[in-house]
Amino acid sequence: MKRSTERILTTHAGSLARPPDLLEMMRVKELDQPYDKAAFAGRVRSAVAEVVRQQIDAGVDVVSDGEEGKPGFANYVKDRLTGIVAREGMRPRIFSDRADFPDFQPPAASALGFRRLVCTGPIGWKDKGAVQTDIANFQAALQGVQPAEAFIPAVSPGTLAQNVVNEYYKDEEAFLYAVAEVMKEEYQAIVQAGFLLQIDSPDLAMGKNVQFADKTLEEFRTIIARRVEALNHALAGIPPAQVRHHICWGNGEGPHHKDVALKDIIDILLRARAGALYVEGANPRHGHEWKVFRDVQLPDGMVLIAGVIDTKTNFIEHPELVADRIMNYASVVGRENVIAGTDCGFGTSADRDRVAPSISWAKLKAMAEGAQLASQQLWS
Amino acid sequence: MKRSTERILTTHVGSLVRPPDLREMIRARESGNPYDREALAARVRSAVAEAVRKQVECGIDIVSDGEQGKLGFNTYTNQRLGGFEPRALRPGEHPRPRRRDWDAFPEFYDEYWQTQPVTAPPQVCTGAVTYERDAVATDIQNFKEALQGARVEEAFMPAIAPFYQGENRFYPTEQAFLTAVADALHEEYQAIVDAGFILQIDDPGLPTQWDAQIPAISVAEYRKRAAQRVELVNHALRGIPEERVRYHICWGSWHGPHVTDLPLRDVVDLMLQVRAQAYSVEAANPRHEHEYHVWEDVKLPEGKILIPGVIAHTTNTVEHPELVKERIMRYARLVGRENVIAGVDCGFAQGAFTARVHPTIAWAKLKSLAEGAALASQELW
Repeated sequence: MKRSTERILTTHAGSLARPPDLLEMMRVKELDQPYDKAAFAGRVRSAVAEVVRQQIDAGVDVVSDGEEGKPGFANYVKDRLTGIVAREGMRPRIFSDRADFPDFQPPAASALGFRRLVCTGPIGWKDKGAVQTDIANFQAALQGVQPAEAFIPAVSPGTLAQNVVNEYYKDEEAFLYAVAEVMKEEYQAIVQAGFLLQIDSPDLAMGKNVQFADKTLEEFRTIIARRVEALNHALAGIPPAQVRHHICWGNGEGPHHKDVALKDIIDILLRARAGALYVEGANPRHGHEWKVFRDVQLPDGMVLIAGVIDTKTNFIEHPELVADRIMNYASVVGRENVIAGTDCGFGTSADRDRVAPSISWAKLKAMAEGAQLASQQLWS
Repeated sequence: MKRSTERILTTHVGSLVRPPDLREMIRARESGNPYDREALAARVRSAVAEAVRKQVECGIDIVSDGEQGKLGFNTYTNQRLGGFEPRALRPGEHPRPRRRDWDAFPEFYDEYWQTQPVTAPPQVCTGAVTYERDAVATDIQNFKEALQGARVEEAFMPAIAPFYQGENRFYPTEQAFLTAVADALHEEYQAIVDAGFILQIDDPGLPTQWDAQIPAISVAEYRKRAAQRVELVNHALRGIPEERVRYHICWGSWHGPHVTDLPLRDVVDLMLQVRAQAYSVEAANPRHEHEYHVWEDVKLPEGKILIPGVIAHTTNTVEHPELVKERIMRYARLVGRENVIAGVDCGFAQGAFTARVHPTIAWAKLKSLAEGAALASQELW
């Protein structure tokens, strides 16, 4: 994995806005209505090419495929794995922070997320070729452009333990390892294709608010420690230097006042076999947590990807604010160990753009400009 | 005006979300439907009392009346200034003035404006401007009652600067028109200060008119106009002791990209010429948080107070008290702890039908503001 040896590199969390026509096709597909498979595949392919180009234009160094073909960063597994189905009429997830504010109306939920995933049988591969399609699309899109590096996100076993209602395996442990055994092949395929693998583990932070509000901190720590172990099992054999590990507290513009503090989980996060830890650092609930790294030593060789752009607001960060945020991180972990990122994705669900697409690109530009300002100060 | 002599004091920008039933009564009045005047007046009175109580509960030191009785922070003058009448929109005219940020992100704004209430038609001045004092007397009365027995450090009442009253079709020059409005509003300012409250002048236009210049003009030209603007504010403030006045500027409270906002640096010296003791400036949102750097070069004049926003009206995410503290510390380091009062970027409800964040979340944010100020105070004292 490249690090910021000569200047601050920039990246983001992977998912990017889907073009409107692709989104329309995806809606039809997700409603199980007949759709033109070849046309869909072709549009995904061209959309990946477009978002790669747009990332380069915006000045992003470490680019992704935008997850253009996926309906969501986690629920895409329903199309790839056996044993997991999408079911209507399930109880929606409870956000404990929102329960404190009865008049708070969360921004419109994803229409594609109207079903919850349920595990009803043994987990195995239904469509192992899907990741190869992702890889081929991304490789084609990267022809003729030269980003510093390229990554593909994949969901963690722990996040599936959070998002999927388990009706089949005897306990979470059994479910986690069943997922790990299968998903490791996707992880390996991404790395073998020469891409960085980004593991998305929102559960390790947001889980306290959406799944384990009733648990004590100690209980929660035990749960996520087990999830990190299962993740490490899935990552066995993959060089940590090829892996970045994304943690977040949920990409919704809710109050977030019950978010678990980074300082209370950081030791567990650092146990993951990943060369980069990627955390939120820009939004109002976590903007102060760069200070955690005053006390916590980043393990030797590890990169910290810090959110310096908030993905929950349409305000475009001023490049000087971006530079300030980067400077904070550089001051505590060293300039060469910081990569500037966004807090979370711009298209965590394909159809829910909290930030308008045109604004998301402008935000990435502001990030690149801010990284440049910080680099000027840090390498002067 | 009290300052942070022993600890960091807290305040906000003034407007707070109206209770739903009050909002409905105001809606009835505004849509020309019959409504019960006495019931509305009584509900405004009780809403002010509630707003004060909640501010105190949240730990706010310098409280407002929440502008509960006003239609909007600027449009409220429609009921107080004589000489104006509403006009219909021209064919194709958007109820909101065009801005360069809008031109830069048309898809976003076209969608966004549809989600935002438009509260009042534009006004035109067709006669001599006069001022009707009853409404402010009621505001004062309501606020005084609400403050009985409340433990607050101080109380302030916002009033609009003289630039938001629509088109002039009566006075021979724009200058004569603005001077007439300034003279009329002077009566309101005087009444607020005479009642013992701190007067807050709301003047978002000082920076936001920049974004409304289409095509763009030079900063030098803009500053020339802004300097005239400041002169007129000072004219409206004549005779009012500086230490009873705070001056609020912001870049518009809508949740847009704000890329064409004027940098604070370009207007800060003019802001400081306003005859006020304290200046309330946005400093917590993603477009202006970095501007504390301005105070690395610009000296806050002796005796003045800065009220930086350390809580944003721009997001439902509640600022962590540690982040609030961090923001306060930056300002304390630059301008001195006793010259900082912790504030909010902008109001939570610029109009009766507007809520920049969900109401219960606004209160949680104010609590977080107080907690963060307490954390900062522990370190600073």
